[in-house]
Amino acid sequence: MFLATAIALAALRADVDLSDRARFGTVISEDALLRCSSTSPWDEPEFHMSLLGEGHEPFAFHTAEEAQPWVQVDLGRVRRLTGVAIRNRTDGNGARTSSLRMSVSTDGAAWNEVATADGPAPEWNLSLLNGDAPREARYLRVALGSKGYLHLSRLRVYGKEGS
Amino acid sequence: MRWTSLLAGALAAIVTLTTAAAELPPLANAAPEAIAAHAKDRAAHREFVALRDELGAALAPIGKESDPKRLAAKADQPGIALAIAQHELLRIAAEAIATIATEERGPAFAQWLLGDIATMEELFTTGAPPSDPLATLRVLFRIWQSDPSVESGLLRRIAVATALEHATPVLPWSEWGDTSAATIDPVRRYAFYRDLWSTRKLFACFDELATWELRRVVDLPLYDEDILWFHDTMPARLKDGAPPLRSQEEIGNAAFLIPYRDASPTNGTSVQAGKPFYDGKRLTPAVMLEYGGVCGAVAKFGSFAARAFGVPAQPLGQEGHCALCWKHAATDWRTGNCGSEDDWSVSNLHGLWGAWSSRGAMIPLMASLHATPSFMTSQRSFALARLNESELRKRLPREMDIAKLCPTNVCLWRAMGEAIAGDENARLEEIRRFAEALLVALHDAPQVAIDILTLVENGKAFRAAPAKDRDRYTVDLVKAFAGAITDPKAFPGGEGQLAAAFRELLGRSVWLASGKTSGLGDWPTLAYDAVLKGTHGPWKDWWATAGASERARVVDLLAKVATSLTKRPELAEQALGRLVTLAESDDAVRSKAQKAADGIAESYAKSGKRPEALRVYRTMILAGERIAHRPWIRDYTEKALKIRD
Repeated sequence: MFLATAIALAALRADVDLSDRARFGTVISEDALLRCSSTSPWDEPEFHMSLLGEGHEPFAFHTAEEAQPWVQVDLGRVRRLTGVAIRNRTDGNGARTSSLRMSVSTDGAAWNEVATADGPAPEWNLSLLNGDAPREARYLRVALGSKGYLHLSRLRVYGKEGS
Repeated sequence: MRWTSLLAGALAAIVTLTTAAAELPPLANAAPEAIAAHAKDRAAHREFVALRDELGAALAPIGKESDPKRLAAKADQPGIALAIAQHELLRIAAEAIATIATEERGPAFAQWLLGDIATMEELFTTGAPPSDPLATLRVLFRIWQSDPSVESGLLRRIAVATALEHATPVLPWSEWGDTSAATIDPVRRYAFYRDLWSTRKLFACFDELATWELRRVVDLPLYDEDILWFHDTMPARLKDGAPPLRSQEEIGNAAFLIPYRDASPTNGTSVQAGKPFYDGKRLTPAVMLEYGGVCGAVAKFGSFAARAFGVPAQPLGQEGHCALCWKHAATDWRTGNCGSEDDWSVSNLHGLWGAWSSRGAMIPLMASLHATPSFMTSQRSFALARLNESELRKRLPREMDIAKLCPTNVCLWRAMGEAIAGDENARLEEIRRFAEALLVALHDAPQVAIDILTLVENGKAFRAAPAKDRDRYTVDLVKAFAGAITDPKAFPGGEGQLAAAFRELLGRSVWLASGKTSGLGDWPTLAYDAVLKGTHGPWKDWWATAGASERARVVDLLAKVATSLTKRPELAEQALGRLVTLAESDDAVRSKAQKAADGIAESYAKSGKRPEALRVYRTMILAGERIAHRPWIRDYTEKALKIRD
């Protein structure tokens, strides 16, 4: 059902201005918790939290090579999500992020895929609005659709308070 | 003429049997010739049980010497050493020798055997004692009858090795599944290697092989003609430019001549089907080479090739895989076709060493042991001391002192372990002292020690001890082992093998703390590792249903190990790694894990090991992320960033 409404991340990145506060609210992920599907010898977990803040270059986390590696943001409670800004790994290996998928969940168990990317890009700025309505979710997960390494340098979730 | 000779022999036997044997000479400073002559006399009278009892009575007072070094000096006196060997042989095999002595030339064989200390000692120290002494001695008797040269040197060693390996008839691998096929004739096997050696067709190392090594040659499960196929057919090199394959160093690499195939090249059948893969042909080396195979064929072929040229070798079982090992240099064995860097520790010898241990680590341990001059001294001293039976609590400390003469003598540790396991009155404190001393002594082969510990812990005495005391015991053992490793880089196989051994020890402790007693199959290293990682199915099931107090036992154990090994933080980290995975929703567990992590990191930092301290902080960050525990993420991120600066 949700797959039918999936948004092509790469196609929309130039069209979304997440700084439009009236439409997208503010960054709500700065105090969120992060979790990765795996770690690797290149991973430096002390920079994980940077992913949700100012970012870290060339990447803030680095999974092992595995099937559909992911990084997950826990916003602490169900929030009203409006958009997501993702910055890819900033050095030459950004091309590995070629099959990015995004899912959201209210309970961390049932997931709804809300977007897929059609190829690598330096950044993706994505609206999660359904018309003008935010999506309700506590968890957001970004994953590869295939086997590989996942490494990003920044991830910000936008949302609005209230109902 | 023939009738006359037989009649004369029979008359001589009657005269001998009706004449009483002479008294045993005093053993102190006795010449071995005198001890041998006395045994010869007894053998002529077929008085083997009497000789055993007589020797036991004469040796027992000598065995009362309380100082191990003085005891050892006495045990090594040639006359006493011979008497000990005779007594040990007769203790196990008096009836078997008596049976053989009823046959023609039987008494003469017994006389030779009882006068040859090396043969007697090798029967019991080149592997676990024979399970069927009569069968072993009967093979040796047949070989002895077949060749007058068998009584000394290399031929004697080949004969003993063949007797030990072929006491249970060996069915060639080529006849696998055909129980009607002829087994390998031991006398022919002896003669075959004798002739190959005398015509210089074996590699030079064969001349000097010890009996325990020759056992890994003459056990080759191939008919003679299939062994000769290697001599006629095997190429000089594996490929152009490679080192010569026909050398002791490289011979095991003949394994890689086998084309790696999992489907038959002729009929497509899976290699798992067995004979159909080979179109039902007899599984000769030639057929193996023609059809190929997977790891089993590769490892077998390499070990066959090595043994065909007189190089000790054997396949090694690994979980889901088959590797091999061979004696590639004067004192060293090498593994080949291994699935991982963990070669010896994850290998199984499939009972080749009988009751001793099936661990791959037995090979390097045996190589080291047989190169240790005090090995036989400790054996003799132990046998002497054991002649004075007393209750375990008096005997055990003394035996452990004697074991210090040759700390890696696995035979002695095994014997003591069996005694403890069989004693319902053994106290946990005695078991703990034994176990700690064992782990310290065999710290280079801890998995062999663990097998002995498992034996002891399956005894009634250990199982009857309170759970709390058993938990303290397991922690003490882990600490004792960690304390015995003074240089991780010097651990056989390197630090990776040490980590694997420690994980097994720790995983085993967790298993015991979970109330389990049974062992964990043929590959305990991997199984206990899985327990430690939390991926072991039965353990996971137990944990899921365990009550709070049961879980607390496991957590406490890991916390104690993680916090107490302050001098060995890299080992403590192994316990920490497991502890944090159990910390999900329990404040008390989190607190213990945090305390352990801080202690380990501090220990690293104090010794200037900042990367290692950083590794601990990273472990805690990742654990915090996994259990969504913000204080760990925040605090350890801060500490990690600080230590990076």
